[in-house]
Amino acid sequence: MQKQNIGFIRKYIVYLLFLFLSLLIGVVDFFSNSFISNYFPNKLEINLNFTEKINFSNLEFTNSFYFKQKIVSENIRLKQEVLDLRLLEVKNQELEAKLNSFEIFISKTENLEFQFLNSNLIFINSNGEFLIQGGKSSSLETGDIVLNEDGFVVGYLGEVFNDYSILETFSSVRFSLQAMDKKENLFLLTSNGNTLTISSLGKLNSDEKVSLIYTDVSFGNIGKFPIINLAPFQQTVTGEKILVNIPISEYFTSHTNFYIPLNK
Amino acid sequence: MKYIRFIPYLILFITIQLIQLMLNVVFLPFEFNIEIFLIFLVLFGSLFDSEKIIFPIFLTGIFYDLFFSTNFVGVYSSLYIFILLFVSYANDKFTKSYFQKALIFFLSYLMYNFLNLIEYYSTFFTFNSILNFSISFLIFISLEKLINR
Repeated sequence: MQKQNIGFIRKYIVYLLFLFLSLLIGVVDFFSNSFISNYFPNKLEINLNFTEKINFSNLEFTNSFYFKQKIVSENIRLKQEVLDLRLLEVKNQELEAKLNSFEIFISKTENLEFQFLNSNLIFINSNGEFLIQGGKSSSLETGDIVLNEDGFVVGYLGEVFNDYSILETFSSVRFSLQAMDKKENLFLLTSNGNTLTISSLGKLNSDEKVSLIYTDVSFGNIGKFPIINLAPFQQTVTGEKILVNIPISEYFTSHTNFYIPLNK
Repeated sequence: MKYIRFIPYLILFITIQLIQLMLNVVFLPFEFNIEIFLIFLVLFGSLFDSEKIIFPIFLTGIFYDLFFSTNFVGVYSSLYIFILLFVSYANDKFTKSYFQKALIFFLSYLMYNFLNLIEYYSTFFTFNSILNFSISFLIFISLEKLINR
């Protein structure tokens, strides 16, 4: 009975020790300005390319003198060829879809002097953040803006790893973005996860209704990329400022194409 | 040698974690999700000697924090260990009626989504959350029955 009690207590002591260790690492990471969080992802490279295929062509048969085995190996070779052709077909379809997406993007964007990196969704983590392809190896940096096929901003990179990045979208409560319109009025975009709030910073330069708002100097490309058209939404004027609340209706899938401008 | 036996558990948990991340993408258009990592966490905490899996769970949490989240390292490992601790304690102390199992799973679900709960507190308790919880709980009960058999 006493032995059972000791085992029982020991179990919880182990739990508490590991809990304490986790919290300790968290505290060290917090006070070292995310040194641990950044150190390992920068040193290690996790390749998230799932399109790599297994190559069966290296299979060797020790006794290849028999006719039957020749047929078997020929059969394997043909099966492999069929597999390769199927993969090629899938790849072809993917490329075709990508090409269509590029054509749509080119027809809608006005900033063709920029180089764009095409990216797709890989994972969504427990916090609802989007992990997308492309990282430091593709010269991406934290804060780079991300566009959709229509050329509109969908978010920015919150964190950049070697091969992938975390995208902060309108649906993230941490989302905060400065914007401007053609009349150089400044706006701040914030989100509570369900509603995007756009409030003007300072006095408006014109009494006209605000329509398209663009990225501002904080992203190094002033007025280049549209974020949202405010014209269809109700604009509440309080004093000389305006406030617009827009319900967020993002819809991304693993096939959604994102575009990230590379030369800033 | 003692630590080698942790490796299969570690591989298992990291695989479940990666499947969870992929499922998040698959179920995105349907606006609901199956928390398979939580299911396995509660399952291991309630059915097995969870003291043995604490180290792999700790490393899985660290791995997740390092590579798949913007949180500080240690946040998710503490969450996972806390859930394991809670489930293990609850199973030691209480009888196992369906109501109690549902309550334990519900509290574990809240702990698992603790970060979302504090960030999206006003919109967390929606129909989708209840659906997520119900489906995950049903899978948990089914798996538990299957293992007990």
